[in-house]
Amino acid sequence: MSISITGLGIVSAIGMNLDENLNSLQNLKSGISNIDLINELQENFLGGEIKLTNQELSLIAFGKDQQEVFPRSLLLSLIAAKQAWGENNISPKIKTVIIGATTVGGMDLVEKILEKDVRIQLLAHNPSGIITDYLADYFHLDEFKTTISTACSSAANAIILGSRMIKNGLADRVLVGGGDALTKFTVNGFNSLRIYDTDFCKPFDNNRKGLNLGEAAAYIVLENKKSMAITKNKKVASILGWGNANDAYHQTASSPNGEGAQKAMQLALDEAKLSSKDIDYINAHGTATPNNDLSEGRAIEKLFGQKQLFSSTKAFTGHTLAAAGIIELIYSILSIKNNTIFPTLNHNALMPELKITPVTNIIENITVNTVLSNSFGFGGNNATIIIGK
Amino acid sequence: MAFIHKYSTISKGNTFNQGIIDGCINSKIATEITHPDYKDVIAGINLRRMSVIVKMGLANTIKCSSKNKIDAIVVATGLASLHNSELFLCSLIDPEQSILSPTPFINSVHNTISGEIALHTQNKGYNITYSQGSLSFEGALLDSILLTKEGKNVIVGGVDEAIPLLDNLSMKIKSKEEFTTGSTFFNVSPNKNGSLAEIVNCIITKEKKANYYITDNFNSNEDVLISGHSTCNHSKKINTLNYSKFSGIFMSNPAFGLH
Repeated sequence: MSISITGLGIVSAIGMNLDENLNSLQNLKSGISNIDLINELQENFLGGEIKLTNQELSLIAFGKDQQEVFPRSLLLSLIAAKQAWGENNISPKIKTVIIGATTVGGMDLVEKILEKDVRIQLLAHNPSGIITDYLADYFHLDEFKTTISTACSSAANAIILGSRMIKNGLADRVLVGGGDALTKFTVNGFNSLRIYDTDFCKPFDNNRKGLNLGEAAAYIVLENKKSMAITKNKKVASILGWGNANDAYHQTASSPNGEGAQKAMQLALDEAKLSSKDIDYINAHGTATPNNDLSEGRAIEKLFGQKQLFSSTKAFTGHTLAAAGIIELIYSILSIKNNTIFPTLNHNALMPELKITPVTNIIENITVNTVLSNSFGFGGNNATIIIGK
Repeated sequence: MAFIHKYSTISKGNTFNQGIIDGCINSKIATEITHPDYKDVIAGINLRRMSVIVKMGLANTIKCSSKNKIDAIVVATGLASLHNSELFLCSLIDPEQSILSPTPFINSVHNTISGEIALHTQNKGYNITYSQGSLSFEGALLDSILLTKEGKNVIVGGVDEAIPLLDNLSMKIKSKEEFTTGSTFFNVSPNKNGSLAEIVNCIITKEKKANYYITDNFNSNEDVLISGHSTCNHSKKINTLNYSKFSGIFMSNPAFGLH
C-alpha cells in the first residue's frame, strides 16, 4: 500500500508558506524573538512568534476583513490547510477525511473571557475540535473528522491515524495537520514547569536550559493510488512507516534511557520494513529541555549507532507543540527534495553523556532518501514517522 | 472484527458497581455523580493530587482490563479537565500569584488522562487522545476498530467533567441542558470468544445522510436506535432510546450510549 503526500502547507515563525520556510532554513535564519503580541505576560519570553496580528492573519486567511472573531490557532490552521488543499475538489468517488491536531484550540479567546467575563459566546472556542469543525465545513468534508490532542506529538499521531486509515481502506484521501498559537496559558505553563529557557534554546547542547515555545500550523494531503488517479496530484514524498509507544515513566518527563522513544522508532522501522542503517537523517524532537535531549539522544545512539546524522530544527521555529510533528515532517520532505540537512542552531558544547554528535552546520549536496522524524511529549506519548521519496 | 468484552461506567447512577441497567435505568437517578470509592479500585498510589477526570478514567480502565495484556489505550475527552484549566487560567490573572504551580497546568492537558492511565497500569503500548467536541468518542472508537484489525487488545473510553462555570454559561445562553460529569470505558478485542457484542461500524456524517443510513438499515421489529438526542426525525417508526436522559450531557457521552 503506498501512501503519498501530495500537498503541503505551512506557516511558522520562519515563513508564511513553503518557499519562505525553505529560504529561512537554507539561510540559517531563526524565527525566535521576544514575544510581543501577547499582552500581560509577566516576564519577557523568547518564542517563535509570527509577527502578524489576528486581523492581519484573518486578511490572509479570508482575503478580506472579517466581522467574526476567530481564535489565532484557527487562522493559522486555515492558511496552512488552504495551501495544502490547493486545487483539490470534493468527489463522490474519493472518500476524504480530515484529521486535525491541537493542544490549545481557542485558548487565546478563552483567556480574554476570563479577563473580561462578558464575551460568553467565546467559550465555545475552548474545545479542541473547533478548528477541525471549521476546516471540515470550509472544505466541505462531510465524512469522518476528528482531532488528536496528545500534546507535543499530536500532529504526528494525526498523520499516523491518516496513514492507517488509508492502509486499511477507510479513506482514499486525508487532509491532515495541526496548529497551535502562542498563548499565555502554554507560555506560563511551560515556565511553571521550569523548562522554559530565558535565552535562545540550545538543542542537544550541554548547557541547554529548556525550550522556547513557537506558533505554527501545517497541513498535508495524503492520498492512495485510487485517489491520485482521479485528482492527478503529483507525489511529493511517501509515508513509509510509523510507531506510537508510551514511556509509562512520568507525568511530563521521558525516561532517562529513552525506552518509549526507542520503541516508537523501532515500530516505525518495522512498519516500513527498514533497518536502522537505511535512515539517512533523523529530524529529532530535540526540544532543548535537559530531559528530552538526553532521553532521545540515548535512544538514537542505541538504535542507530554513533555515526547517525541527526539534528533538531526547534531553534528555528521554537517548539510549536501540537504542530511540531507536521512542521518537522515538512522540513524532512524539504531535506529530501533539496539534498540538504538543516542544522541544529545555537550549539556550542557536546553533551558528555552522548557519543553521537548533532549536525550543527548545514550539509548540502547530500543524498537524502529516507528520513525519520520524532515527536515526543507530555504524558509519555512518543510518535515516530518515516518518510521516503 | 471488534468485540466488546467488558465495560465500566461512572455516572449519576451507581453504575460503577451495579451496571447501567440496575444502577441507572431501573433506579432513581441521583442529581450528583456517584463516584466509587477510588481507594478500593486504584491501589497503592497517592490519589490526592490526581484530578477527578483521571481517577474516573483510571478506575474504569482497571475495571475493564482483562487478564490479557492490553496493547492500546484510547481516550476521548471533549474538554479534558475543565476544573484544572480554570484553576490555571485564574492563577494567571491573579496578581498575588507570583509563582505558578505547574500541577493544574499538567492536569489540564488533554492527554494527561491517557498518559496517567499508561503510567499507573505500566502500559507501554499505543496511547492516544481524541478531542472533537461531541464527536470525540467516535474518533476513539474508529481508531479502536482499526487497532483490533491490527490484532490489538484495546481499552477505549470517554470522560468529561462539568464545572459550575458551565451551568452559569448554559443559564446565560438560556439552554435547558445541564452539563454533567461522566465516564464510560470498554475493553475491545479482535477475539469473538466470550464477547458481549460486536462493533460493526462507526460513521461520522451529516445529519441528513445519517437519517438515510438509519432508515435503510433499520428493522423496526428487532432494532432499537440509541440516540443522544431526544428529537429525531425519521420517516418510519423507529424505537428510540435517548441515553442523554440517563447519562446527562457531556461531550463524550456517546460512550455511555454504546454501553
